[in-house]
Amino acid sequence: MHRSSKSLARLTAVIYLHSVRTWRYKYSFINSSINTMLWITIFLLGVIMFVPSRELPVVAPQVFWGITVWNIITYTVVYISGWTTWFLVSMGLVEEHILHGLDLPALLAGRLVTVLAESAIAVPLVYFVLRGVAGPMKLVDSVGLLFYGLATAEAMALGYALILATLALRLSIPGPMLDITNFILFVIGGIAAPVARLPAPLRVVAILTPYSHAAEIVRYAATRTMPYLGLLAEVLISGALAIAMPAAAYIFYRFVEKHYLRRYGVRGVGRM
Amino acid sequence: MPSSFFDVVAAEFYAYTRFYKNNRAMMIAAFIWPYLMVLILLGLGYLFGSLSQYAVRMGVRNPVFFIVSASTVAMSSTFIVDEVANYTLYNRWNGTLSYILLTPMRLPKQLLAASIPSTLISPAISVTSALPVALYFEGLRGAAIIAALYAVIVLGMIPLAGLSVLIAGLVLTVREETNIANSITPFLLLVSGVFYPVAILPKALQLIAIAVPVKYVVDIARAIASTGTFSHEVFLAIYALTFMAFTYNALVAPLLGAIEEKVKRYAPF
Amino acid sequence: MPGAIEAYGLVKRYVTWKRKGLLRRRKRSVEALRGVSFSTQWGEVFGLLGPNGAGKTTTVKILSTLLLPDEGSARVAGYDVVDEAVLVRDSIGVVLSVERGFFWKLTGRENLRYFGMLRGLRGKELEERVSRVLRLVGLEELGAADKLYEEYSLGMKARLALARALLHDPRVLILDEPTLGLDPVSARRIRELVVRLAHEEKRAVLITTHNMFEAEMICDRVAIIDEGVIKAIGSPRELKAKIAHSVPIIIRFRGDKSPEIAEKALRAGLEVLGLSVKPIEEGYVARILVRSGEDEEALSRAIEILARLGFSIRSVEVSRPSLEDVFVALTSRKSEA
Ligand SMILES: Nc1ncnc2c1ncn2[C@@H]1O[C@H](COP(=O)(O)OP(=O)(O)O)[C@@H](O)[C@H]1O
Ligand SMILES: [Mg+2]
Repeated sequence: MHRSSKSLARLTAVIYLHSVRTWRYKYSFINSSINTMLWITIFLLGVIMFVPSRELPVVAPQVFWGITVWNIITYTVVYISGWTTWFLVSMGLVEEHILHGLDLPALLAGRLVTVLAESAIAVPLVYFVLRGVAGPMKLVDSVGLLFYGLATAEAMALGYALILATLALRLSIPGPMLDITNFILFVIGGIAAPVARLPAPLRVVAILTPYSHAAEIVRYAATRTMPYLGLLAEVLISGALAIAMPAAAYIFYRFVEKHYLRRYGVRGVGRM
Repeated sequence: MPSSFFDVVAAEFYAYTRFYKNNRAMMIAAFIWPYLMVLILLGLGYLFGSLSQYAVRMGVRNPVFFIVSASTVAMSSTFIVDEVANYTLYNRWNGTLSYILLTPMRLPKQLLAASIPSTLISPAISVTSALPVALYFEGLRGAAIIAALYAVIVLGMIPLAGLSVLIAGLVLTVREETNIANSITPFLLLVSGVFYPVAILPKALQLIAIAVPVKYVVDIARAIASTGTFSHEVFLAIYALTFMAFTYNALVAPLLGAIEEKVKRYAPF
Repeated sequence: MPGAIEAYGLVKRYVTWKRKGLLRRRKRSVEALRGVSFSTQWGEVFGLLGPNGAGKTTTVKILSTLLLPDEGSARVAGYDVVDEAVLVRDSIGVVLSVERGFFWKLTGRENLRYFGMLRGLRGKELEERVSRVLRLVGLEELGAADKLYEEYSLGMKARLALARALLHDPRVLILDEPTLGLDPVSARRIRELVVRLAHEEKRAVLITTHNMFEAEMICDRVAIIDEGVIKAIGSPRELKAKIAHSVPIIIRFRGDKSPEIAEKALRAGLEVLGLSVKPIEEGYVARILVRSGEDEEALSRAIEILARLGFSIRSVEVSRPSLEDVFVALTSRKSEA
């Protein structure tokens, strides 16, 4: 069999698998979209209590896109790393995939099918809520840049998620710990709010947070809010991170597979 | 050997405390969670607006303490609804559900008994995590406020007991990966207005809120966290909760038998 | 043609950590394999027999490239399991577990389709292969091919696992306890298929089991492994010949005392070649292997010993050596009852 046609067959397999699973678990992910949307709304309404009424039209689109980027990142991480720990390992599927010649990162990346389906439901719902509270708003200025920003954010999240998933093959990482870093970075890491709005010391944190660079591009594409580091710099940094993070994750996985999985065996993890 | 309601409660109490003992990370997470909520709200509020604006709109004198206590309410006032379903799901994944169903007790009673310990312990952990803030701002009175908050949260969950079992039954019959009804809890919180006045919600949601027990928990929490006294509104809210505790559970009771039968017919183990 | 499976001096140590207090852990090393060598032929069903924890699964995982050996080497279908892992994976069909390893919310057919695609199969060829293996293992006739995996009985799950192992038409099959816990019908179907695949289609089959009856029935040759060491290799008949000079005495008894006490007393009071005491439905069964010619005396002594301990004898039988007796004679470990 030719290598390329084999890769194509594998790609088809992964997309097939995740599409069927997403459909069969539809209630779960529809519920989860609604759940997310409701929690976001609760906080959104809380935050709006802080904002003077006249500033709402400017703040609302920024808040919306901050939440959208966060939603994509969070679900990528939760769906991919959580699935590895609780499902793949305990169902004996890690070894089956190694036997069938599919690298685990490729299988896991297929979970993006589910992530995107969930965001496709949750994000519009959040928009409607926000519009109900803040009135109509202009959401997009440059479609191309918006797409670029979202795609690079997704790629970075994928890399991070794959690293956590790989760790989860050997260690038991408590899921809630992931949530904690994730919420903290949302607020202080330049995802929720423009980096320029942060107090000076936090700007350093934000610049060190990979996602902030993608979020800055998204905000620029939506509301022409100039990125703190300038647009060109952010485009370059985001692009580099979007390639580097998944690549690093893949190399890390290969290392773990060779030096841990094939040496000590795949471990069942944690309670559950 | 026939096991009583209290045997099951005791057994679950043991299992639950062991779980935390062997899972320190979970314990730490339970303490940190309310602060994460505070961080998000205060952090974003500060970045996009101002604290004084919030204090004025909410009519509270200490917005930080208010947000801390509101977060514990948000964390735990609907805990029972998810807990009963999650307990059921967890045991199904674990393969222990069939053994649990073998205990000689009706399913609804069984599920409720099993979730009582966590329903009491988990909010206790949440409110305890707010204690340092309460002591800092309000001194000893703060501790009394926290204790009252805990009592109100637990009282507020009693009307939801029947509903919790209904949802657990539903989750069992649908056979999916996760609790497919867990968006009910944020909905209850949303209409109850933990962090904002219910008045900003659409009229329809405000009407629904009247029938939601959590709203009264939030009202009481807001009153005691912002004034530290028991006004007559507080007593009214307590009456409302007591009334709901009886009527809601009485309304749901006839459905429980049907759910039990359906669960056993689907045999989802 | 190269040998089907060749293992030379395989050694495997697992590292485990024992918790000591909050943070301290102590490293411990478990020697799962201590120099395992054997080879199997094309067209033969080769059985790896051993009690729980003997090292069967570890051997299977090394041969199927999932684990790296610490020492020694192995070739499967002519390829080295360490250096040519990808080629090995293309040549083998593996059953690792009869109850896991599939997606719950996919039907049997969809699961196979997915794993087939991962092997590079596509289109009409894929559909044909999937249907063929579903028929072969009898899932089609059970009407289970298009049921969700989560609705499968254990027997169906095991059949699906075997179907997947056959999907890409591998020349070597490596099956780890493929009949564990199955109903008789499913177990028989799998055994028949395994024998046919080896004898008629000239594939090589390595099957592990701790069921002696099964091994005697389907294996052309067996290796007995215990505590990571191969104790004997040969056809069931050859192995039985090794203990031809001995006779198994089978005593069923019951009582309140623990079976360990019975076992100890029997070992002390008799000159045994092998001994196992296992719990059965009512009470226990002792399998005592003694030299032929000494069986009558040994029998009365054994009854006396058990009676003195307060056990009551339910039945007594002097039998002919079976593979089980070879096993009892070779596995040094005390019974795990
Ligand atoms: N991943 C692992 N980590 C540590 N010890 C293991 C691991 N897998 C197996 N062992 C140990 O290695 C020994 C052999 O196990 P295994 O090969 O599974 O035996 P079998 O399949 O014959 O029952 C046992 O003592 C078992 O406890
Ligand atoms: Mg085994």
